[in-house]
Amino acid sequence: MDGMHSACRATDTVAATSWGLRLRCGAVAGAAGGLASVVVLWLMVEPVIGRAILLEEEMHGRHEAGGAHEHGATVTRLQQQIGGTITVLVVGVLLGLAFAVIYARVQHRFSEETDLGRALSLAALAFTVVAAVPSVMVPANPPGIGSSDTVGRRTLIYLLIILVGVLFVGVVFALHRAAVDRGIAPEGRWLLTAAAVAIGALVVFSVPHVEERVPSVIPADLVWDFRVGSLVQTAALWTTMGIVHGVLLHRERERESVSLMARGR
Amino acid sequence: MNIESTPLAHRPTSSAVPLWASALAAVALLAVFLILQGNDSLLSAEMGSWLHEVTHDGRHALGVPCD
Repeated sequence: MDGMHSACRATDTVAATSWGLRLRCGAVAGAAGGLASVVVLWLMVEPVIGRAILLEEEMHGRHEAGGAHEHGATVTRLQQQIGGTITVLVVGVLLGLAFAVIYARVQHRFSEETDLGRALSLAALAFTVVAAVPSVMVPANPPGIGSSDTVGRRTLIYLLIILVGVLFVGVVFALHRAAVDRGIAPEGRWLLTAAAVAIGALVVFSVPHVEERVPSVIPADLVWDFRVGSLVQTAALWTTMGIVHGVLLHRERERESVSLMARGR
Repeated sequence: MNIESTPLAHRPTSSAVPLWASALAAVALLAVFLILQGNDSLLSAEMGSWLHEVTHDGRHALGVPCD
């Protein structure tokens, strides 16, 4: 890769290597996040899904003794478990790619000095907006709880919450920038941001939540275990993605600046 | 060329993202949605329901609404 164009690359190394490398960092970080998420899936979530499906089968008089849940498609439990693992990995890589692009677009807005710090901040924001807040308003449920009559509405609300969350984050950052432009002191800016976040949190907790009626045969601790497992799983995904993305970018920059110095002198 | 800026304290100022990269990110996010929830919006009903079942555990685990 480093062959014939090296002479003309010195000046644009940072720009030229950026996109190929950035996307590779994103994909690798996403895969790492997906892997971490899969570990949690198998340790914390699959056992609960297994318990839920047993109960679901009992409720429905075991009419689908072979396995898959109520839709009646010809997929076995094992296929669902392997499929679930692959799904999480694929979703991880796709989110990692999107993360790399969004990171390139917004990284200068974060005050952290290092790529690791900035990537972790962005990952924490992503976890909050696409996992934590939706989990409060449209909680994750094990199989056998959600009604197919309401799934369309729940999905719409879930997507709206994420969209509003992203817009809210944008508004808070814009507010912060406006405060900088007007020369408001750091303490004032901090207060402004804290107030905006507090208002956001207040809205999240005061708006009526979409709560499905949990069938009485399903124990409360099963639902609780599932929701905790699901949140730990998404937290593992975003945290690992943020750390790996930050570390990889950091290493690339280090390598870039070393080769720049070697060529420049 | 700013050789002095150490990689440790790299403070980016530009935010230029080429259009294709933004499009790629949008496609990736759309694919996540299609995999997790919109299974039958692009595929035949049969394929859609197969994908829906195969992604079942992943969808529930990631907290995406489902029945």
